[in-house]
Amino acid sequence: MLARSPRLPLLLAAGAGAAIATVPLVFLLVRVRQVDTDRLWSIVLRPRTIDLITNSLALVGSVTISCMVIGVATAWALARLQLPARPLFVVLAALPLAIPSYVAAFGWMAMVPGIRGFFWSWLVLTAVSCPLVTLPTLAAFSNADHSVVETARSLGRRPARAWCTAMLPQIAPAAAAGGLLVALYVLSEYGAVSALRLSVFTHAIIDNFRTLFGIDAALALALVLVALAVMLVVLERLVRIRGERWRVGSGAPVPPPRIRAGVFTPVAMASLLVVPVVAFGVPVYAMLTGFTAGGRYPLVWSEWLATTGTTLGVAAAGAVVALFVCLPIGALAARHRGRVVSVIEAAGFTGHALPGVVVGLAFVFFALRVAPSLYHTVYILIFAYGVMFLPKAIGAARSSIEQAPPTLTDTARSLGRGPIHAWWSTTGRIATPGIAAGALLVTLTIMKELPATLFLRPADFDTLATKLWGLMNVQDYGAASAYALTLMVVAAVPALLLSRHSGRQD
Amino acid sequence: MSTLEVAGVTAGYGRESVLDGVDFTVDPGHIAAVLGPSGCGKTTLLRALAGHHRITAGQIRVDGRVIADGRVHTPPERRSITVVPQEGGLFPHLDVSANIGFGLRRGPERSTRIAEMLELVGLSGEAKRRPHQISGGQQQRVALARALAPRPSFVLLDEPFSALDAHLREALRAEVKDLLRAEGATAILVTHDQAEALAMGDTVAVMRAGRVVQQDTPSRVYGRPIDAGVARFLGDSVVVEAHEVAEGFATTVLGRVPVAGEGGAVLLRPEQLDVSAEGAPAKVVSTEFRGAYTRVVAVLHGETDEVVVHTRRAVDAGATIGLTVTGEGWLLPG
Repeated sequence: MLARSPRLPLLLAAGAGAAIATVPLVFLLVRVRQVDTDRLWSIVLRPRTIDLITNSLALVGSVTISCMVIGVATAWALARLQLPARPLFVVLAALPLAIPSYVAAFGWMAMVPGIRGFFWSWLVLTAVSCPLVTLPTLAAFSNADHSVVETARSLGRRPARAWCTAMLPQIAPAAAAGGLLVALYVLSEYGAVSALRLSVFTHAIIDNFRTLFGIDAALALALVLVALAVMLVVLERLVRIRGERWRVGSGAPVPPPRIRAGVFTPVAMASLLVVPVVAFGVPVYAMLTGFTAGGRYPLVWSEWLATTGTTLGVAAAGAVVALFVCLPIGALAARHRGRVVSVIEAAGFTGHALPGVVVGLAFVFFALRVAPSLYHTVYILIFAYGVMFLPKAIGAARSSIEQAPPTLTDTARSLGRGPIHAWWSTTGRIATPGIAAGALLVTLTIMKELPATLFLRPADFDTLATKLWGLMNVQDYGAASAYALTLMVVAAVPALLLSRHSGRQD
Repeated sequence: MSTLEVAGVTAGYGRESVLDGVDFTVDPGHIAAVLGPSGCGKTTLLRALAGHHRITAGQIRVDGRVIADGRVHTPPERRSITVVPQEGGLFPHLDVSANIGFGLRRGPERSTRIAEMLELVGLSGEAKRRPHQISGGQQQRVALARALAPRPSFVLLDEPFSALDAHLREALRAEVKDLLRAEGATAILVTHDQAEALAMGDTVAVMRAGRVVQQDTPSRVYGRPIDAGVARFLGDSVVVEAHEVAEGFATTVLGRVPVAGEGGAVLLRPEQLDVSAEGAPAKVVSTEFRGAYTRVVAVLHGETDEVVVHTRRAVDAGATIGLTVTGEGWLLPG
C-alpha cells in the first residue's frame, strides 16, 4: 500500500509546507552570502569564538553525560525495582519537564543569591533535561524482551554479563537518542545560561546582534551553531533508526518480576528524589515564598491577566499555523515512501535543528527583506512560532495518521463511500484526537518560548516568558513568581501527558 | 447474483509488473478460491478487483459490464464489491453494530439489516462491544457481516483466516462457507493455503508469477493438474515415467496403471499407493506417524526419486516393501 504514489494535490501542499519550513534556514544563508567569506572566517576563528565554542561544548558534554548516567539509572530503578508508590515516582521523574530551564535557574538564584557560572548551569540543566533520557529509556525497559537475558544466562553468562550483552543493547538506542536530544537542547539553551552569566554561543549571538556592527558576527556564530545542531540531529536519527531494528518479534513481552531492594529501598527512593527536588522542588519553593512575600512592586493582576491572555492568543495562533502547514506533510509521510517524500519530510523537520535564537535572527532578516512593514509585528512572531514548532506538529500528525491502517479507508470505499468521505469517516476520525493533542502540545510549548520572542516581539509586547524575563533581570522575584508559577502550570500539562504515555506500557 | 469475468488483466507498481494477464471467471453464487504462493500477485489482484489498484490492460466485467480496463476505472464505492481484509480490519473507533452498518444507507431498514447480520453471525450479544473487546474469531465474523450487509455483487476474502490458530481456522472455514451460502453471496477467496482453497472453493484458480495457470473444480486441480508445479503446490505428489501408454493403461515402474489424459509422466497422489507383500519393491527411507495414516517416504528399486505413500499399515524405516496402485493416474501434459 505504501508503494502507491501520492496524489498531486497532496504532494503540492506538502511541498509548499516544506518550503515554508525552510524559510529560516534559507534566509540565514541568503544573508550570509552578503558577508565576505574571509570576514566570516576571521570572526569564526577569533579566540573569543573559540572560547564560546569550548564553553558550549563543555556544557553540552558534561550535561549529556550526567543526564545519561542518571537517566538510565533512574529508568532501571523505575522499571525493575519493587518500590512503594512507584507510579508517583514515574510522575516525579517526568516533572522536571514542567520547568522551563530559565525558571529553574531563577528559582535557584532567588534561593542562593549570587550564584553564577559553569557549575550552576550544569546542575540546573542536568536536572531539567534528565527526563529526556529517563522517559524513553523507561519505555525501552518496559518493551524490552527479558527472555534474551534468561537465554544468555542459560548459555552460561553471569547475571551482570548477561545483562550487558542482552539487555543493554535493547535500551541503548533509546538512551543514546535521549542523550542526543539533551545535547541539542543544551546547545540551543539561552535562558538559564544567560541568567547564570555563562558565556555560551546563544548568549554571544544575541549580544552581537544588539551592537551596531555585530550583525555579521551574530550571523557567523549562528551558522556554527546550526552546523553543530544539524550534526546532533543527524546522529540522533541514525541512533534511533538502528534502535528500531533491534525489535524482532511482535507480541507483548512478559516483564520479569521486580527486584526486591530490601534495606536499600529507602536509599533508592531518596536517590530518585534528587533530580525532582533540584529541578522542581527548589524553584517551586522559591517561587511560592517569593509570591507570598511579595516584591518591590506589587503584582498588577490586570496586567497578569492581560499577559496570560495575549500569550494564549499568540501561542494558539502559532499552533494553528503549524497545524495547517503540518497536515499535508504528516499525511504524506505517514502513507508514502520515496526520495521526494523523504526530502519533504526532512525539510519539515528543519526547525528541529534550529535553536530559538537562530530562528529569531533568521526571521529578522526574513521580515526586513520580504515584508519590512511586518517587522516587529505580532504577525511575524506568530509565523515564526508556527515554523519553529512545525516538527512537533508533523510528528503528531504523522503518528496519528499512521495509527489508522490505510486499508480502513479502502474498506470504507468498498462499502460505498466516496474518497473524501471515506477518509474522514476512518483515518480522519482516528487521527483527530492525536493531532489535536499535538496542537495543544505546540500551543503550550510556544507559551514557554523565550529567545525568538525576545528577537521578534513588537515594542511593549510581552508574553508570560518575556515578562518573567524582564522582572527577573531586575531581581523583582515577588512579581516574577506569579508569572513563573503560571508558566509551570502551562508546562506541567505536556509533562504529565508524557509520563502517562511512558508509564502506560507496564 | 452476478458473474465476474477477469480477462487478460495486467497491473503493477511503477515499471514492475505484478499481474501479467490474469484470466478467470466466477459464476453467480459460487465461491472461487484464488490460490498461489506468496508474491504471486494475489493481493494485487484482489486490490484490482476491489478498485483500489488501477489495471493497465485487460478487462474486469460484472455481468458483461466493464468496470475496469486500461482506461475505465470505476471507483471502489461504485463497484458493489466488498472486502473482508486480512485480520478483519475492523474500524477501531466504531462498535460492532456500527461496523456492520457502515456500508448501509440510513433509514429504517438499516437497523433491521444490522440485527439480521448480527443474528446470522451469532453475535447479537456483542452489538455494543468495540473490536478490541472481542476475540479474533469474532472480529473475523464481524468483518464478514460488514462485507455482506450491503448485499454486494461480490465479497472478496483476503486470507481471512491467516491470523487465527489452526483449530479456529477449520471451524470458521465451514461456518463462513455456510454463511456465504445462506446469503447467496458470490465470493472470491484469496489464500496461499491449499487445504483452505480446496475445502472452500467451488472452483480453484491457481496463480503463479502473475497469471492464473489453471482454474477448475477442487477435485480436478488436485487430481488433474496442468503441470508438475501445480501438482506439487496442491500436495504431495508421486510422478513416475510412463514407458508405454495404450488403451487407457500406462506401463510404469509400479506396473500397469489405469490413466487419463495425455503425456509422458503419470501423477499419483500418496493415498493412491498402498503397501502390500506383492507390488513393486521399494526401500523405506523414513516414516512419520500422522494419526489417521503414516506418511512413508520410499525409493523404488532401480530408481533414484523418492515417492510418498500414505498408508495405515505399520512400516519400519530401512525395510523393503511392495507398492501397489489403486485408482486412476493422471498423465501430466507436456
